[in-house]
Amino acid sequence: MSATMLTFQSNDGVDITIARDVAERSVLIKNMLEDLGDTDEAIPIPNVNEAVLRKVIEWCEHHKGDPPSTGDDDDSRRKTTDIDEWDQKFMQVDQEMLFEIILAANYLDIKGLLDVGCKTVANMIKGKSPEEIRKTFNIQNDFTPEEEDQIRRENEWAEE
Amino acid sequence: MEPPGDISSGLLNLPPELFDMILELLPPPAQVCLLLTCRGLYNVYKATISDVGAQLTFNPRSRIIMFTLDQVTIYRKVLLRLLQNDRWAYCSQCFMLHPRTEFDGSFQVPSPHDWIYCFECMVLHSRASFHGTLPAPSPPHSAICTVQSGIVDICPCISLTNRQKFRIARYLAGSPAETYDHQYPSIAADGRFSVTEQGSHTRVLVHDCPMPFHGDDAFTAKVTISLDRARKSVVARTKYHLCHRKLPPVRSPYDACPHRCLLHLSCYPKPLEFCSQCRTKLRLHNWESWAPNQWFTVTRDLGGLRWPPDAVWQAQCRTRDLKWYMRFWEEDPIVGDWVEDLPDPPLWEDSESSGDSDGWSDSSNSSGSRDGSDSDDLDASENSEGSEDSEDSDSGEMASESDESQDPIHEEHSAHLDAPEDSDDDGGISIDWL
Repeated sequence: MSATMLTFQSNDGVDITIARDVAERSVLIKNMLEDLGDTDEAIPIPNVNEAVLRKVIEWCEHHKGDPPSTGDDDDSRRKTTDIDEWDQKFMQVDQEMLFEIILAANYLDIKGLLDVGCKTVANMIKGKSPEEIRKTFNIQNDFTPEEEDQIRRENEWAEE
Repeated sequence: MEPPGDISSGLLNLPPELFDMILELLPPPAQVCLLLTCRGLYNVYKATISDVGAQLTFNPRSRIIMFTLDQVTIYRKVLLRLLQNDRWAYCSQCFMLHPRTEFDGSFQVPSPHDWIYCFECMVLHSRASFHGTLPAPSPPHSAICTVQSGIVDICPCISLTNRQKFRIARYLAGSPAETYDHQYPSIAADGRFSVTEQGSHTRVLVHDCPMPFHGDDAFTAKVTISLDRARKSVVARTKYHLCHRKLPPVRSPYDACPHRCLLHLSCYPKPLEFCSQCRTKLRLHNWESWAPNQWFTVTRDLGGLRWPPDAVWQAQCRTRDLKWYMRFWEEDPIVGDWVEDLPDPPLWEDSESSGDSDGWSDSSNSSGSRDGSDSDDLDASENSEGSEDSEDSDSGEMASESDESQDPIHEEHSAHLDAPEDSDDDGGISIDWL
């Protein structure tokens, strides 16, 4: 019999106990449990801190009933950047947290969460000029004005 | 938000595979804008930028698509708008960015440098030496540059701005390219053209057009762009081959000039010799109805090297009807949003990428071997030597007279030939309302 509850330890040493079916949204954990069998000990998650881990678990709790993703979904679904309402609210976090969630979802192999994270970032980029994108993501403009002009000319976007 | 003073960007610190995942979710204009934010991204993704950029041309689409939703056109518009900055502004007439100083009543003469008079040194300096010290001109009020330079559509693959025509003319004349020309894509390296040298100082650009929108292999076309030294102008001559008997269709998806569709100008219901509005000339060669392996040429004078562009050029420029402008060019705050998720398959891409091209080349070879190749070369040389002046006298005069409105005799002569179906695109609209 497999245990119904599992304990995980974040990289800052905090134990969090969750239901097994929630934890199995993570393909990494699911595979690990299949390989190693049940355990009563806390499973260390070395790349994720408590705040991020709680956020990830919150997402998994909400989506535990979702049908499992088939891996490479149809491209058309991945291409759109529509995000359902709950996920949109869930992703209303500061940028540092947003990117940490994306990294954690990637590490833990939670495809749905990774998609939502990437779509959120994509939506923050869409419709913005390069300068606005720099401001949004704190990117330093290291082009000279002449280089910026040159790029516009050589791609036939600008003429004088 | 990131703490102040922290210059690291969470986005740039993502592993490459995650960054690519986000990049793939973006529509082309947003991809380009993201990749132009810093040198690091630009250098890594330079190929992606030029690939995406190359798709967002201002070439004409099929006639059908031209008047409906055209994803590429909208994408280009969105991109150019996003690339505006304190130096460049978007021009809907040329579908390009121009310096802000070329709008609202002022225009610059295109030259290798912009010269600015320096009151301290009492001499002219190139603008480059003022870079960053001059206040940026304010954003223009108009979305159309002062000279309304415009675009001329030659064939489905080739559309030219007036300044591209200047660069082509310099190249054809064999004159050393202006240093300025090197900042733009090289004509010699343009895959659409092959270059024929004629004499020591004359070149001709030749383009074999697969005519990708027709849907069946009815035509092939060979475009030659040459200099008419006698008239000091650039001439585009297109030779159309008929490949099989299915023609004439009711309506051609191609335009011979901005005012006439190809079949109307050529053969249906009765051939025209020239377009009364832009004096595009038509010549039929041994024409016997619509038999295979026949050909006709359309010759268009693209005007001289004057700035602002002369009336000959203006007469050849792309025109749009009011509805088209209403749909695409009016200020639309939500266009940036809804454009992102347009459906994927643009028709013209399908027809371009389908196996048609083989069929095209086969049929053009067979027809070319019979009557095409020799006489075509002859045409090109005639053209560049200006030896057609006698029979071209009507359009020759046009260069000097073209400021005047339509010649009443020609108007009357051709009035009955104006097909009603063409009325949608020859009603040259006033676009001042933009």
